[in-house]
Amino acid sequence: MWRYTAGEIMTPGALAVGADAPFAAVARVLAERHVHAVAVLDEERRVIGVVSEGDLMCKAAAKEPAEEVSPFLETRRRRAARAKAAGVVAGDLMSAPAVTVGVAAPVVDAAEELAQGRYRQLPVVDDAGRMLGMITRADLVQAFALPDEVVRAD
Amino acid sequence: MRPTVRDVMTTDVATVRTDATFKEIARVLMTRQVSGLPVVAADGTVVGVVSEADLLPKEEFKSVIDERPNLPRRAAKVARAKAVGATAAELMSSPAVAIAPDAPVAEAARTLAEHDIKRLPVVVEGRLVGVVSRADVLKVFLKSDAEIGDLVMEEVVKRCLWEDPEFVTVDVENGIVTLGGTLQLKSLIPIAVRLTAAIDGVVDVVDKLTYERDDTTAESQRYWR
Repeated sequence: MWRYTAGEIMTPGALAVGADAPFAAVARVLAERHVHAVAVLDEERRVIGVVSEGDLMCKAAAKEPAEEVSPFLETRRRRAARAKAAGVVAGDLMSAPAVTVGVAAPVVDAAEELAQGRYRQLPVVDDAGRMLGMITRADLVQAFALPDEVVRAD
Repeated sequence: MRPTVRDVMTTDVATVRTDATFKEIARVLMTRQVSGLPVVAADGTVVGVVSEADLLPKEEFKSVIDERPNLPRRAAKVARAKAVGATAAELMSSPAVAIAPDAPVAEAARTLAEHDIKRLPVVVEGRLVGVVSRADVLKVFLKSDAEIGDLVMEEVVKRCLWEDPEFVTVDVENGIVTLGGTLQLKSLIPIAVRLTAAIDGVVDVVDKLTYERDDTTAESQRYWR
């Protein structure tokens, strides 16, 4: 699999939303397209962030009152979760800046981020930062575990 | 009234046994289009969860990357052989964080977020009855604006606040609820906002409520016993 480039194992297509996309619209895109995340693009179709199921979940979790924590004792992660729970558009909810991978980069560049980082998918971009596809853990598992069955994207 | 895990979980769940091989796991993940599987022991109890991340050999990727730009082929082959030889019992995360079918959906959401995991086995006395994923939890946000408006009117305005729906307006756009009109008491306004925010599908609440009587001053509370 090491000879593959990111472009060859990615899921092609730029499934993405604008920063002003409402929360409910993002939830609907994720559900209808059966994906765990979409990229957030600017007007030039450059990737500015990624909004995932995890980013939306904070709001679902906030529907049940959690124990109150003093703001001084609040962890950074909990504070971020609270900020996201208040978000109403993709721009508030996304993780940014986006970590992306170049289309011609070898797969190992994406592999480390996906294998142990907090990223479950990375947008694949051209030289100008415009989105061409998404490389997910599923793409990587498929390439790693079942190398003979990888369908190379053209 | 509040939706429970049972209402949103997936019951047609693919599982693997503890002795499943690396390739079997990878193939089930691929054909079922899921990113993780409960691992079930011979007696039917859930003992762990094996996910895509567990199949990716973390340290080995690192060693491959560290050895670049020399061709990583040899290190990669060793890494692969090691990972491919493992069984579900060795690869899985254990014990499984699980949830009961009668738990509220919001509790499932919080558990998923806190443990930073993507799915929870739903168990009754250790036996698997379903799986609840992040996508399942987010189903509560797929309600239409009209449905949300009806729910807020029924559950909050009529059922909890006992207000006359004639004097309260509920407008919903993209899940954002704007409450307008007049409540009888000022103290009811923050309660109305909080109750509305807890309704399924509600993304945010905009408060444009007014009140007939201010019951929050010391003067107004003097007669309360």
